[in-house]
Amino acid sequence: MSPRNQIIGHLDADCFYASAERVRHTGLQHIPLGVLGNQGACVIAKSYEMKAYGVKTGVPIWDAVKLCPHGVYIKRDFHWYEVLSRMMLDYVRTISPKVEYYSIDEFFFDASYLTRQFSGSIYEVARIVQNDILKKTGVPISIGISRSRTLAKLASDYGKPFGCFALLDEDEIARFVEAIDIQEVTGVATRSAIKLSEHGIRTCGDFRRADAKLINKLLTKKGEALWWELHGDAVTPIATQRPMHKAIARGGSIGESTNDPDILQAWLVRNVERLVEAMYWHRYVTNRLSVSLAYKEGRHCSDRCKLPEASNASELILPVAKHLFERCWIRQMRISHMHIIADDLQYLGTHQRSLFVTQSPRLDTLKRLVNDKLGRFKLRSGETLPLVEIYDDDAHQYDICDVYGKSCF
Amino acid sequence: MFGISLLRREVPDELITRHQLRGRITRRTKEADEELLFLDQHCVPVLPVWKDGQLQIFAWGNRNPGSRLPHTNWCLIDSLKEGRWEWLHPVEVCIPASYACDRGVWYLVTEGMRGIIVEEGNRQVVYPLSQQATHYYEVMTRNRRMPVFLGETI
Ligand SMILES: [Mg+2]
Repeated sequence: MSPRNQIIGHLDADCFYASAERVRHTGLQHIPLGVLGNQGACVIAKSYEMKAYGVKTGVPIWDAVKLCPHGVYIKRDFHWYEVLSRMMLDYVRTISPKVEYYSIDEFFFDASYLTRQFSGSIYEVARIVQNDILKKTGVPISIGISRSRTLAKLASDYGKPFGCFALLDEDEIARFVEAIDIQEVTGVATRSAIKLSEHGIRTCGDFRRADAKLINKLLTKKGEALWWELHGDAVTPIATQRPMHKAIARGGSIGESTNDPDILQAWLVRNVERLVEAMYWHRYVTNRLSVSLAYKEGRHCSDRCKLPEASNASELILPVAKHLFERCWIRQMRISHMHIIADDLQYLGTHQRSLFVTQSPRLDTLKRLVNDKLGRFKLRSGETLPLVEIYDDDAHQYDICDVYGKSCF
Repeated sequence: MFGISLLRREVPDELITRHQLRGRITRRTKEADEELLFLDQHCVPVLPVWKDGQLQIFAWGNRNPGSRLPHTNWCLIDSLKEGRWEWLHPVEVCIPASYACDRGVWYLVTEGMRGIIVEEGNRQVVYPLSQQATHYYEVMTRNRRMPVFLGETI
């Protein structure tokens, strides 16, 4: 299908963190709700009811309480938000073969297929999708449908909350974007906006009327892409796969340095569980594994080996990691950092299976089945039990980098 | 300044009437569920307690100067563990709550808090348990102590 005929959808959950809390705490409906960051100091997300009192994202809790004294505050829980995010993603994948996971609560998808799957106008079908997602996940979302990503995103923003807006007709597009501030467009930062305003370009309408060559001169190729996008040309395709990683690594500081074999073993298993999860998420298998250790006393040690077959199964990766760990562990020294690295990656399904080894990831599948419903690490290896402080303390931040596409709080 | 609230529909009408709690019914917004307030600043502070399989209302802490019961609203969990309440034969109970408010900050409570009930004559008093606050709780409320919650860490 040529980009000109392509229809792009943008799906964006409405006040996602607050909505996610309402899914599991139904009593929070209609209550001004603020989601606090890990430290309890700042409001990182809020419901529309709290927004109405002037509470903005990022304000300290004590300012928020002054503005909205009867609001209720709750600690963010990325593991839960991720469970819902994946449920939404799974659903969107059933209605479109091309889906881009843009962030924890935003996806772009090829919407050209929608009217083939359901009957009705594109607007009616988008409403069906919206209601299906609400029914299946409990999360209210807004949908924008248009000729390009940039327009679809503007369209989904327009109707919030629970908005649904199809913007396909060329004249309608021109009318719709005319007065929108150019800074509303994702990808136009303050600095770019200043450059544009020096040439009298303040709205999307001004931007569209400007010469594409001028935009290219001011904002480079990326800016020019936006110019085409605002004209309804989908020059930025839906990225169903990010560029392949060179390597995937999990690990880091192990807290207090130690040479206690049980604790080190627990960290090793935990890091392998995280690595296996990350590989599964990106649909990778690895051909080579490395373990790297850093000692409090200042030395580094690492070792690597080739796997007997490309794999993402902990049944294969864990014993190899243990073997590598044993080979580079200096027993009398205290370890401060540990990393497990998988490189020489391939996409799952494209790799050659060995006739003899093949470890099917049965344990991983079971863990995933449970954890997809309850949240990450609810089911985990018993070998990680010595890491009491990591799993018991809900406030820990050790594995926050594993939550894909979250905002950076 | 501490208080909890309980969804009004979770409290039997009879209990509300008997303890004259009707004036404590409130809602945060027009569409929100009704809640029943239990604040330590009420003239007669009381708390809801699950005891003997039913929801009951008890005096919260001891403010009676003539009473031998500890003159406080809270029972430090460490003092309980050290046996300093032993002579009162405390009975551990659950204090259900939907929300709690500490120094003006309302937060969600999943189940409730732990507490103890002690008797003096035919008078029963409930003391919620308190402990050192987590970092998160202390930043959020600026209180260095926090209740002992049922089944969760805040
Ligand atoms: Mg959103």
